[in-house]
Amino acid sequence: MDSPKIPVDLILSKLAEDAEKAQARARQASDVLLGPLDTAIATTSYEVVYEEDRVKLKHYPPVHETRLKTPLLVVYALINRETMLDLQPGRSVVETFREAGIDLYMIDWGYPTRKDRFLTIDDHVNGYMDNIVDHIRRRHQLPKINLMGICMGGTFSVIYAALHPEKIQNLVTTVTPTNFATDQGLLHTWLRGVDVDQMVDTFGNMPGDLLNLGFLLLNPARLMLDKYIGFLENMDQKEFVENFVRMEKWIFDSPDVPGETFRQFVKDGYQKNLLIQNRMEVGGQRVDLKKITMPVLNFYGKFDHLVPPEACELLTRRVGSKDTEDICLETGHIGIYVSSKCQREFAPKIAAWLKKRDPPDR
Amino acid sequence: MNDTTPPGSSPADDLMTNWLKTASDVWQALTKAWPAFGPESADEAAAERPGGRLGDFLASNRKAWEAAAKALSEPGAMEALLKGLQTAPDLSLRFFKTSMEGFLELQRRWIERYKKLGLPGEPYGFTDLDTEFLNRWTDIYNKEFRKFLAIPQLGLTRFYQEKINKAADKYNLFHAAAVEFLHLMFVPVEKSILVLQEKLAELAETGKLPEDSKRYYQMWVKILEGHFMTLFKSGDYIQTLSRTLDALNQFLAARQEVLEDALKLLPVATYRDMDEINREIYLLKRRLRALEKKLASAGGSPEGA
Repeated sequence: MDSPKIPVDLILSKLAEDAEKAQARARQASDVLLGPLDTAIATTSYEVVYEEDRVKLKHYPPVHETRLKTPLLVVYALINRETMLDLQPGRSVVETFREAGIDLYMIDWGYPTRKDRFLTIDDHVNGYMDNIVDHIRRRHQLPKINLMGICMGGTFSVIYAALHPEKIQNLVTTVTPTNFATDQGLLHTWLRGVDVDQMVDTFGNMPGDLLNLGFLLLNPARLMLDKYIGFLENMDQKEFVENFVRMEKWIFDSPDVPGETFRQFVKDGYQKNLLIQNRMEVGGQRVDLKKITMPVLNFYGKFDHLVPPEACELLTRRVGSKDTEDICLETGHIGIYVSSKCQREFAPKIAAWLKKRDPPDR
Repeated sequence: MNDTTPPGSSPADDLMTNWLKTASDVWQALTKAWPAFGPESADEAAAERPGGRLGDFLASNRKAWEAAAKALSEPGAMEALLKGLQTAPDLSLRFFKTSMEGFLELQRRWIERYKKLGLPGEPYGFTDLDTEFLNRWTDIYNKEFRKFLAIPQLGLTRFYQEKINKAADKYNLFHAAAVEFLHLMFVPVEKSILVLQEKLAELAETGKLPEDSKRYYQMWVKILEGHFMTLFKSGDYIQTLSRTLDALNQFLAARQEVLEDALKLLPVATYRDMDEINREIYLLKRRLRALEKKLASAGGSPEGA
């Protein structure tokens, strides 16, 4: 007699085994979930050295001695929060920079309220950012500082460097959209068809939760289902649960985005693609990328579905600088900052690149 | 009609006369039976009259009732009233008729859709999304029901009523769009199960079915992810997403208008009030910062500190 093609007995015995394992896991998980968990994020100590409205400037001094004379200002996006750069000890860009002897400053954009709905890109770039850059320059008595931007904060940094090149020593852009005319990312396709005027007029500020829902819908199978199945399968491991909760805390900590800034970012960026064509205007001034003459280091992720490589890689070819470098890491939008592999390839590379370009003693 | 029926009156009039008499007797008994309040009543003037204020209220109601009853007991009055009542429900009747027609049309579509169940599907393609089935309700609503909410409003409260109707209308449109959107989101799930079934059949044929149940889940999630990606790039999805967002925005804006009207009655600032103030503050701050920068560049105090 032929053996059956469907191994029903094996499948059933495996199912029974899985059920037993699941029961044991559930028992262990209850101990983990009910016990003490360390899920704190952004635990590196800092000092707030400047405040303006809701915006704060955090200062992280180097761990040992300062090895770079020029301080680094990190500008995060208005979507989600800068705490992602300091998720946990051992997986912290902030920690790596401090270890490398960088005097680090980071903008905390805070939580915009209804009163912030009229703030434009001009207010963020020529207002808050420029005041902060001036503050750091005065504090260190330096004519120029290093600037690093993340995602939308990277776009702001590009605009800033083009409008105020005399204040920037080196520019580092990470997962920064500058060329919006691409169909590689779903966000680019979707936002082209959205009536952004109607949205901003209705909501005032763009609700962070609505934006987050949009990001989840980019890959619901993984982000809304598989991720939590993975959690259920590993919830008996304390360290896994702690890391998972840390990430959840960061992802769903979503401030609203000031309405007028969102309107301009979507219209001038996603819908008209003005920045890369040197046609964008901020505060009555045209943003000319050729004025970016300082060295530029441009990082992006090969598997980034939010800001795909095509949205990032044109920048270095359009700026006026001769000293440019593109680095494409084999990771996604967030993995570039938090994955264990990128911890070795990302922040240490930036530190070394900046060190090489740090001006000699004056 | 019996012998005692006055000339010109109908059976309806008879019925009305009898009911009116009974009702009048009840009112009279009620006002007479009401006990007088004592002098300890707070309202002295009212206390001087038997029954006090409540007694006055009952007596006043009885008089009004008697006047109405007299008018209604006139021969032919009941016929006229009934005729009037027959005219009023005409609108309700049309509404009911429209509802029934709409429901039957929708039911016909449902039956058509159910007939498709069991027929071989299109597991890989996204060309047979059948959104027309869902659009049907929106069509019926647009053609038949919306006009009831657009009936011109009259009188002092017309603007308020109009806004309430608009909010109800926008809610219905948003609801229809959201259902269509959710339906689309379910399509990849449906199709991924079909693909998985095909794959499992192939594996069973070759005797390569995995023993680990987790492998089945992993296969399904991978297929599902691919199907979502295909859907998200389709024109149908982008249009539906855009339509749903527009409908949501329009509903929220219409709801806000109704809320603002309600808030006017309370000592609470509305969004509109606050936005006006916020805008003024924003512009003032911008001017102040520009002046600070000018002053700093002219050698005055440092800016932004």
